[in-house]
Amino acid sequence: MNKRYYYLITIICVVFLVVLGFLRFRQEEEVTSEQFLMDTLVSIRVTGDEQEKLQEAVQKAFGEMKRIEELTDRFQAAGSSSCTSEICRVNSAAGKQAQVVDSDVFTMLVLAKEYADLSGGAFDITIGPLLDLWGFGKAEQKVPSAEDIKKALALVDYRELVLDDTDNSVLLKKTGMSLDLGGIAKGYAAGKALQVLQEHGVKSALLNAGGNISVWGQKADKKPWMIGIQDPRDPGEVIGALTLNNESAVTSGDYNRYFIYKGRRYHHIISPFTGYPADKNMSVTVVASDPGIADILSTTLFVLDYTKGLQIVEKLEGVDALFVTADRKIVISSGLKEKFTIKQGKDYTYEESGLVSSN
Amino acid sequence: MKKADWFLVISIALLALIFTAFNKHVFFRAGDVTQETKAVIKVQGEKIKEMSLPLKEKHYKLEVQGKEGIAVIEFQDKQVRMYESPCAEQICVQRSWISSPGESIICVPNEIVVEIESAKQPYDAVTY
Repeated sequence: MNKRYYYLITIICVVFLVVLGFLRFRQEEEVTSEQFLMDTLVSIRVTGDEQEKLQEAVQKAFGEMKRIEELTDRFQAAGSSSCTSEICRVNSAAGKQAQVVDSDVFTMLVLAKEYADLSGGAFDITIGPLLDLWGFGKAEQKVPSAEDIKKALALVDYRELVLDDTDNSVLLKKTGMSLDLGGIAKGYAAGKALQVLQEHGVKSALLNAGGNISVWGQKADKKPWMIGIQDPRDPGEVIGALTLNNESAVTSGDYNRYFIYKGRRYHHIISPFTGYPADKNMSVTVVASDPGIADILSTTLFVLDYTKGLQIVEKLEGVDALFVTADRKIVISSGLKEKFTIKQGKDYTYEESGLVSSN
Repeated sequence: MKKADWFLVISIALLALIFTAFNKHVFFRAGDVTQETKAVIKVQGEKIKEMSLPLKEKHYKLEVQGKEGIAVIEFQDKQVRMYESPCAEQICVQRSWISSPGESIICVPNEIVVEIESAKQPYDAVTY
């Protein structure tokens, strides 16, 4: 055989090896990491050019969430003798004096009050006394007496929370009032973490904070992000899927945290109107570009009847919601028509928002 | 070189090119076909064990040391559950059996995660 023939084969082989190596090099790196934070499991998956940079970005993002957690934690940490967070400081000064707080805490409180106003009190971060009464977050839960609930309800009123933006000071007017940021802190922290990831130049990010999902950027395979929505009565199934793009999906459900007392199930989302677990919906999923807003609204809408919920959502720009109502209806707001695909139809009836034109 | 030699060289080059361009997809497909399902057990963010499902034993209990104490994870056919946990609220025990890819049991106080994984997971994540 001809010598030139071998040369040619060799050259071709070398060229391919080089090209292949180059492709490998250009391929996106991926980092996935998990941490227990904010009373849940937080997992972050990012893609980008360099492994080390990605690792750093993820650790910084976790650090940011940890910081928010420490600012907002309402309960004393194991091993420490007292609770020293910003929120604890405000709570123990209730009825006495205003406390100057960290700017992130202040921002959260302002947001919380805005959405409390907007929802007529369906979202209320002064719900602390009620949650304490029910015992969520503690070792023992019980069904309180109607009288105790009435007493606690009298202490729940966001209008008695005074925010002064000249010096970021916060005052709860009545003694015994207390803040609980459970309906906002996780989402707000997710927003801060996403910001950190973006500043570190990640190409895409998937943040899962205990079922609160945020996606950013484009996946390596260029396909859209597909996020399933869990069936509230069958955790192994989804009722459908959302196609998201730089958005967050946050769900509030009656199935995540509950206790059983005398054969009845009591879950952890307490209505600030009644003082009892909200019973209008099995779950509400909110899609918004800001995970903090999505978090607030999923809790807000959960305690409301879906017709009222839809009225709120349809007025807000770039916010959508999906309700699985107590009577097994799946209802979506107008903006989800293109983003949501129904999967599980047999146990539920499905309707797209009929309220679109009425607003 | 003869015409036939050139033909051979170019065909090999083309084949190589096509294979390079598509090999990622080809391998992914191959992975999907086997569809192996496994239970992944993580403690404090570190993967400590992977079990292919269903297990050879019909019934199996595994003790895992968590942050707060020893948890017992139970396997039965294709299903997994947290059988016993030293934590206060018992949310992970209430979660009961899981078996579908993407499902997970999370015990926050004890920092244990049991996850069902499969090559074919239809969603990037599930909101709950």
